[in-house]
Amino acid sequence: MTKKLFMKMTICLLLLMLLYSFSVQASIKVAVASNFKTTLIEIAALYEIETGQKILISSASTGILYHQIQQGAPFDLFLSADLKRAKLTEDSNKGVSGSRFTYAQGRIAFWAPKHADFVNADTLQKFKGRIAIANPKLAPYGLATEQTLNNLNLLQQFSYVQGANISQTYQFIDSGNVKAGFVAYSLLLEHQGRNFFLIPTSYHQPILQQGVLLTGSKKSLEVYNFMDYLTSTTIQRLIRSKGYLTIKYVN
Amino acid sequence: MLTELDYSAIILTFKLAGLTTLILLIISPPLAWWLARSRFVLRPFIEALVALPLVLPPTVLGFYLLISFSPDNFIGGLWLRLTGDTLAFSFIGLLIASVIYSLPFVVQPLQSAFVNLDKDYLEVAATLGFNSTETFYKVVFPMVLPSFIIAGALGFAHTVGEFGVVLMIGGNIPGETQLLSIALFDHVETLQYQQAHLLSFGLLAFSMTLLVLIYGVLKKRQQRMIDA
Repeated sequence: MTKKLFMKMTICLLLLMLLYSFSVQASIKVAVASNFKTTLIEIAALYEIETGQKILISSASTGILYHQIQQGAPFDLFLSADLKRAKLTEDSNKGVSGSRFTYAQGRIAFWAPKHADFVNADTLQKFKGRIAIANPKLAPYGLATEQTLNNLNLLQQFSYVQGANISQTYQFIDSGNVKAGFVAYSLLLEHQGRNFFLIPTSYHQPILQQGVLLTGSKKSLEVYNFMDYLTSTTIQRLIRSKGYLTIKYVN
Repeated sequence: MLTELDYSAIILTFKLAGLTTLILLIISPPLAWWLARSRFVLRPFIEALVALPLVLPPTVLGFYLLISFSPDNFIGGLWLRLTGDTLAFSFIGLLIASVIYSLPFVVQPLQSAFVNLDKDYLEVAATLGFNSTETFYKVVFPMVLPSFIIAGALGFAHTVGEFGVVLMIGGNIPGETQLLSIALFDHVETLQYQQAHLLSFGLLAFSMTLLVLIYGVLKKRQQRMIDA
């Protein structure tokens, strides 16, 4: 009796696994830079409602994803946090040449959560001591921060604590360990951060977040459809509401 | 080739590992002795606490430390009032983290040595009229010396290999918190494979050598135990 029951359960389990594997097989696997993950989850949910197409999301830092892709990780689409790694992927045999596109443009803000009065350009000019920035060597937002401070002649005014990425930089300030620093505007919007000064884009090179189709993909048609969706007016408007600038295709 | 930053990261790593090992070799023996001998009700709980860094992801420790080091919280606030500096992103902060992180690696070899210590020797020492301090230095210590070497070397090696905790609470400050593992992470992320290879291979060779030495000592000791 119990044997029969056990057999039935096993068969059920195998069927479930089979169904699951079909559903996973049918989905598009997207490797996305950590900073865009929450936005992409929303977009993917909308896309599934509209088209029935499932999107499977893997997120890590752009650098780590780039390495995984170079080692043959089975993703269909790579959404990088910068232009550099997207271009490197496109130029390698892992990316489809001509498929690279810009899906969002980042903005940075100077954030001093516990600052007594209104935070503006003047606050930044007068601020003394230690600030948190994303590592300019690793993180595109960090590079933009460095360019901004350089343009304002403020590089020598501070001592720096570096986060490996922009989320970690946000945590350093949010946990109270550092009084102020430069973070992504999208993170401030997502977590209702207050007391920040949005840096005008003229102070730094554009933080272009680009995507590229991967050669290993067996579903390039579906991926192209999703790429069109990402750059459609509706979704670009959604991305804009999350604290990014948006533009159309850039070559 | 390796840059000046890499060399400073190497020096800093060894400084941190050395200091961590020194502190651990002072606090671990009494703790290990107590864990090996005590009948206290809460002993298993304390033992579990000591062993936690063996099983917890280092990021968990890093996360809690980042929170407790914050000036808004008791420990971080107290430190700020005493020294005028924050605990996070400082060498002292890393030292505290490393001591917690490598504690089981030093305590456990000592604890098993103390457990395996033959009671006869302690009884003989007692009949000779040794007090507990004398017993420890004249009888226990010479017998468990190999375990001390192993414990110290393991603690040192484990601290050299620290990454997750440092990434969470270090802040990547050259000469202060930029350790070898972080410098390596930077090189890999920025696609500087040559430096990454150099540092990785150096670490690999160092760890392997140290472990071979440790197990060499271990083998000799086991042989001695068998012979005795």
